[in-house]
Parts: sequence; structure tokens; C-alpha cells
Amino acid sequence: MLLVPKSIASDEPCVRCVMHPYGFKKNKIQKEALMPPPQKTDVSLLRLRYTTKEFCVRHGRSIRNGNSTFRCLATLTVQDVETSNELSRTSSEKVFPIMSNIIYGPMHKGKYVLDADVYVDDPNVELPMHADLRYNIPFPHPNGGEVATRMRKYAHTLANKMQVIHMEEVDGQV
Amino acid sequence: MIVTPPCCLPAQLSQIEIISSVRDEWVDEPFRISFRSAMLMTSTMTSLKNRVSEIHMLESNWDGYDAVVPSDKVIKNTFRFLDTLFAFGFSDILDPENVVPTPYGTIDMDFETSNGLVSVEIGANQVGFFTEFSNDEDVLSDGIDTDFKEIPQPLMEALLILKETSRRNALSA
Repeated sequence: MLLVPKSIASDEPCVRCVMHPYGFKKNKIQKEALMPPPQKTDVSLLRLRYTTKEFCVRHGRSIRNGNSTFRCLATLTVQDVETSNELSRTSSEKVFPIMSNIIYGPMHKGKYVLDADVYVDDPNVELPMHADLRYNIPFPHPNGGEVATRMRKYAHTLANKMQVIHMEEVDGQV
Repeated sequence: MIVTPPCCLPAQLSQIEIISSVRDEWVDEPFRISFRSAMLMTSTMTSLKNRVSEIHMLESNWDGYDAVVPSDKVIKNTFRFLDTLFAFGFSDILDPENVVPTPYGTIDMDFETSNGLVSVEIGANQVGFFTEFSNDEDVLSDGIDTDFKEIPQPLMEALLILKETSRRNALSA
């Protein structure tokens, strides 16, 4: 049984399931694909070394709803995050810099499994390979209509570093 | 999702197209160019407004990750700001696909040319923006109070840089 390590290697590909129509355009991942829900800090990722691309595709397809369909898988690494953090730090002279980190976070039925060791094929853990991209401050309140320029710019920098590893056909186009 | 434009628009547009084809044979070149670009802007504007209507019809959790829908106020501001952009001639550097809702209820507009990017966010009372120009002289605004009937000065300057430098690059190429 392969143990899922609590530390995430700097070059470890972490997958985001990107949705159509607002997450991907003109061969680029849009910044919105890396933004958490309102008042939250976490964006779900799957650690590719502890699952398969096929599983990630199935997971992406399971997210679809009336407004969106699964579009592609794109990866991000801790290295990408650290580069973006450094850029944010140097460009934020007088303000608190936006930063993030990728953290360990296996999940079962919507809850984190953090106390016990988790193995790749653990039958009691739905998503042993789950991790979070965690921002250092939450995104704005849903009813405020508040703009968040620095967070958008950070997400934009990060999205530009992502590598697409799988594309789904949408409206007859790949 | 397909959004049907207001019923009067297709009829108007087809009349304009007929006029355009007649004028082509009889009018001077400068008039023809400005007439055609005016028609192109009208068509772009229709696409941009259809895009906002499409966003207005979204339901909660539209991204599958618990996103909220923009409020009526944000939608109204976006329509109003599109009219303002049109009046100042900036709507031609905004691709309808670059009008995108954020998961927390605002709307992004990314103006892109060969010279870079001006990324604008429409909120309930403010507009925020950042730039990504090829010369690295970037600007960022955390939020400027506005009624969306005018373009705040720093944003106006950023959009002018984006549009003018791109036009100059095209002419010199």
C-alpha cells in the first residue's frame, strides 16, 4: 500500500478540473479557474502521483451541472506557487501581499481526513489524493459585489503557469 | 447556452448591411472605412450584451465549485459600462469571450491586444483593474468608486495605451 505523504514535493503535479464555458479560452486557463468560492480560501486539486489521469477525468465529469461541463485537466506545482508568491511579494510594497500554498487534504464525503495516515487505495477515503491550493486571505463576500484586483492578478499569474494535460470535446470541438 | 438578442436587432442589422453594400459602390474610401468600422462595433456590442445576458441567466454553483451569480446591480453596471466603453471606442478591443463572471459575484472584462492586457473588474460600486503591458510598466487599481457612466481617468489612460500602442504596432508592421 502506497502512503500519501503529507508534504507535497515542489515538482509534484497537482491537477485542477477546469470547467466550460468560463474556465478555459483560446488554449489558456482563465484566472477564474483558480479562484475559490466567496469568503473561502481553498481551491480543490488532485495529486497526480497518487492517482491516475483517468480518475481525474472521471472526477471532472462528475462535477458538471446545468451551467457548466468539464473542459480540461491542468496541473500546477508548488514551484509555480512559490514563483507567484515571490512576484506578489516584490510587487506589493505598501500592502499585504496575496500568497498561497498547496497543502495536504485527503477527503471523505466532503470532510478532511487529517488525523490518520492515508493510503492511495484506502477503501475508507474517497479522495486520498485531494489537496488544496490555499490563499492567505479569503475571497470577497458573495453579496457585497466587492472588487478584488490583487487576488485576480495573483490568480492570473498562477493560471498562466498551468499545463493542460487533458482536453474534453465540448460542442464538437477539442 | 444560446441567448436570443432583443427582437428588433436582427431587422435593424440586416437593413444596415443592405445600406452598406449599396454605399460600397458609390461613396469615398474614408467614409466606407468608417461606416464599416461603425457596423463592426455595433455587431461587437450586440455580442457583448448577449454575453452579459447569458451571465445574468446563470444559477448558483455555475462552475460546479459553489460560485455565486452576479447581483442585478453588477449586471446593470456592466451593461452601463459597456455603453460607456462603446461611446469612447473601446468596445472593439473587448472579445465577448473575455467577459467572464467571477465565483464571488463580480464580472471580469479582459481587454487584450498585441500590446498586452488590461483586466477590468465590475463590482457593485467600484471598478478595479490591473495591466500586463509588454513594456512592463504596469498599473494596478484596487477599486475606484464610479457610477459606470464614465471611465475613471487611470483606467482610461491604461485603455488608451493598450489601444494606441497596438494600433501603432499594426501600422508599422
